[in-house]
Amino acid sequence: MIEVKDLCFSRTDGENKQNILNRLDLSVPAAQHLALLGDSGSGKTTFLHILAGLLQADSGLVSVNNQKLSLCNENELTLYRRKIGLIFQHYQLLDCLTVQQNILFQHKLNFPTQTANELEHLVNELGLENKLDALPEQLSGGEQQRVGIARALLNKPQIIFADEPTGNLDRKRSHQVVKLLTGLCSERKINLVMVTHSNQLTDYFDQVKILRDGCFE
Amino acid sequence: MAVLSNEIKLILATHFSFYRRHPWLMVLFFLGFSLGSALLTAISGLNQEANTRYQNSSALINNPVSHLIKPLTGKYYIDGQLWVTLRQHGVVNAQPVLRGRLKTKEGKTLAIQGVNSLLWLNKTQYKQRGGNAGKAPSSLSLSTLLVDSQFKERLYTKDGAQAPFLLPKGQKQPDISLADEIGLWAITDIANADYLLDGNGQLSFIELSHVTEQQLAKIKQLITGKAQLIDAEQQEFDVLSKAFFFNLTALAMLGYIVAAFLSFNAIKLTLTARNKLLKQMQLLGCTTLSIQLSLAIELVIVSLCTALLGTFGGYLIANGLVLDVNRTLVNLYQLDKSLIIHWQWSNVLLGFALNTSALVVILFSQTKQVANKGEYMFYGLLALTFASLLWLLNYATNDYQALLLCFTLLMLFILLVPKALLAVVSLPVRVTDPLKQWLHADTRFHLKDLHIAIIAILVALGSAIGMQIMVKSFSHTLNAHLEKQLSADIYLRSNTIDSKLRLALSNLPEVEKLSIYMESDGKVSNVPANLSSLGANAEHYQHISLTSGLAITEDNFTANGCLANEQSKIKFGYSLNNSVVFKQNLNTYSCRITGFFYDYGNPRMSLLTLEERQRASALNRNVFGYSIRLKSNISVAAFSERLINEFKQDSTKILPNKRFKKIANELFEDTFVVTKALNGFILAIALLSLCTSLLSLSVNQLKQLTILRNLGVTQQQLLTMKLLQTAGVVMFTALFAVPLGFALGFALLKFVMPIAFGWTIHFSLDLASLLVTCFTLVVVSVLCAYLPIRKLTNLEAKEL
Repeated sequence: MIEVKDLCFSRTDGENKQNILNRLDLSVPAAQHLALLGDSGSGKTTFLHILAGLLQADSGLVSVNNQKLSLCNENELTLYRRKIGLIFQHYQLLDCLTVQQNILFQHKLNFPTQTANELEHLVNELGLENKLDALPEQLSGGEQQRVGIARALLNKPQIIFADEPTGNLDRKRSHQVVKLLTGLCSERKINLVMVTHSNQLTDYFDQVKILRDGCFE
Repeated sequence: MAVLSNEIKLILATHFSFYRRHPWLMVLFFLGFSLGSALLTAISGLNQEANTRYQNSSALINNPVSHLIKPLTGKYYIDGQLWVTLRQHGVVNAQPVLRGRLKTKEGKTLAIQGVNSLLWLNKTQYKQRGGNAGKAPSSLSLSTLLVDSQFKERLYTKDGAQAPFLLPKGQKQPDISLADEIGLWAITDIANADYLLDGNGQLSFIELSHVTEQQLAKIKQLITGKAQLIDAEQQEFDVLSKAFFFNLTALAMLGYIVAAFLSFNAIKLTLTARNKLLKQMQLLGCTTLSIQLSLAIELVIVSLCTALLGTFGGYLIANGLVLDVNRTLVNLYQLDKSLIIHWQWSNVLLGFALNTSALVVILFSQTKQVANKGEYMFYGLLALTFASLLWLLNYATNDYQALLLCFTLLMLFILLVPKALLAVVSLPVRVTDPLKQWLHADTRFHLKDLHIAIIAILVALGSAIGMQIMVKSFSHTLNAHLEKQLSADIYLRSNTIDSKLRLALSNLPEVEKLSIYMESDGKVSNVPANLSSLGANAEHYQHISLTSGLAITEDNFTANGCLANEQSKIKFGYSLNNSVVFKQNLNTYSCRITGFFYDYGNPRMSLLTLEERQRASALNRNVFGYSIRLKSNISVAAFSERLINEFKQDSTKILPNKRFKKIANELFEDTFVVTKALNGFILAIALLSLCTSLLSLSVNQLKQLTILRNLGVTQQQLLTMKLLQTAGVVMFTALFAVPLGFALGFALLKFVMPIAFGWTIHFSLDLASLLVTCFTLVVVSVLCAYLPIRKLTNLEAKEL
């Protein structure tokens, strides 16, 4: 569950202060999926980064699963990030690790003594069963994104934030990936917040919000 | 805590995978880290061994040698009966040693040492090493000559037969047994040594261990007039070789700086290469603390491993150089001590400390506080360096202040050159070619990433130039000095002065002047010294140059006058008209200094007096022979023939001037062999530093270059541009290294040389060889840069 009230965020470039996000309010009930749309520079990625604990808001309340992010210090935000699922446009796979090691990385951070029972099922579902020993550089863009999804899901998060996960994929692949991601999140009752610039993908989401000049339309 | 340790384990495993995927980066990182330690170990190994040399190289008996009974000054041997007398009076902790040289028919020499073989074989030190470090002797008997394996080629012919020795009375040839770690002196039983050398029961010295004060008093009483008692720690070796090892210390200082930069660079390389990985881990929820801790653990482990690896490399290098050091010590200082570099754990610790310090400095420099106060720190350090430099230029009086002067000069350039280079590349350049525009902007933008390599090259090249200036100046001065000093046409070696031969030769119409050379060893106020004479009057001293520029006249010898070398004035503090008391055993000789003469290469104090006065003193003296100056139209070869045929002189004892000068020059060249080798090593490390800097830079530049490739720039164009950029940066660094080298050369000649060695040398510059050094470095740098740059520019456009 996500609660945002009166959220403001600005950037300072020398003496110029630029407001990126202006008094945003948002509520996403548990297990719901939200698509965040907007033009380039509208502030959607910044907003997602604040929700994911990568940035701190200037003012306002940000609460994710009852954890008030605006009151967290750097260390608490890191630990928060460890519990959620993050999917990036540029995949952010660790180049030196194999596909399997990448998928297991966050799970091992959270559950060092537990075996990842879901791994086999998940990689089969994502069609990665033959790629487990491969290195990220040996995969296509779609495959790399599926590895990112597997890593996020295996972590058993209550919420997943995806930053334009289809940004580097063609139309057909984009639909496949979003369908797969929303399907898997629904099965597991996971909140999903996805930033996208594509209107055609909004059908898979429960809620759609459009950002323009730092405000919701 | 468990969570933290799990996190650290995971991060470490990821780093390990990173190294597995990038083995070359790992090799470079390890090499960079190890070379720093290796350089440290090589130099400190040589220096440390100098301090502990006697216990290690002699070690005839289990107990450390505390005192030595040596022949009286001016004598070579002591009577063996003295050892018997000592034992009869209860001094049983005394071991006799006889030393000498054997010659093979091919003219190759072998230094041998006769010891109590039973004690020697049982000594703990050899047993320990023999078991696991080296080859033990295959067979032993009382007639065995135990020779270090390194001399194998000297003693065996090509077909494997033992080369026979030329023995004085046709004695039976000894059995040779080869073994490792014996050292320069071959070991045999003292009875066998006496037999082979025809020693007639004489001894070279007696080693004493664990002697009580009462025993010392007794020994002194027993040996009075027959030998002298010397504290093992206070031998002339320390005084005489001090300057030589000071030279190595100066080099060590440069080594420390370059090695520290290399370690710094290696850490920077590995951190830059993993920058993305570290950020990703942080993104996925790894805490900053665990990332920092895992990096610290990794670097500490790597520091320790590379310190071990580097120490081993340094141990090999130091042992490779030790023969040159020994040759210098034996030839230049006439010392019969040899060094053997042993493995020292303290060097591993030293290497580890160097790597860890570099690590701490790099972590410290990353902190926000330092980054914010960088400018203040820079100006503070600059002001401190400048003030120290001014103070030292005016007041440096001892060895270490002179070295500190060199260090402040280096610091000044280290601080200023990167800023100066940045100013140079920031100068507006009007170019229309887009590639050249990019190259100019890129150089300005990335110059900071090359700082470490620039400084390493600056220090290495600057010190190489400084050293070159010093060696060249020394060599020029020495040549001019020898030209005058060795002005006689023929030198006839002889152990005695035959008055009849002297008179006969003096009366020959071909001879313009005949002088002799006679020398007594001794001490002046505990400083090793020698007193020499060349003839009966001032005429025989005309080839000697006084520091005052005046010619030597009879006045210099009137009223008990004598001449002293320049070292007496600069190093030992004597002035004109000072009285000196030359002491040899119980005899003394006093004179008044009337002038100082140049005497390069001599670490001792040296006095010149007239022949009669030296003869009249009760000093023991060695005669070296006659120096003959011929009239201008007389052929040296013809006169040599006459000496052989008419005067029945041995041809091997006749040395024409040229050969004599050659021997003297070779002797001094040896002094700088080690210096040059270590300097070359420092330069090689600087080049490696350049290589690693370029590799770490490539991580940042990949995106830029890929964009250029996509815009239609060819691989060849990229390669050429980057090589040009490297050559340009190195060339400008070299331009700054030249004034640094001049400044260092000046400091070495004007401060280090007079303070450490006691002689003044005039600044002499060989511009051609200096330019060759700079040009070579630029070319070699470009060659070194080729591989990393090629790797970087070998991009396909599709890789974006």
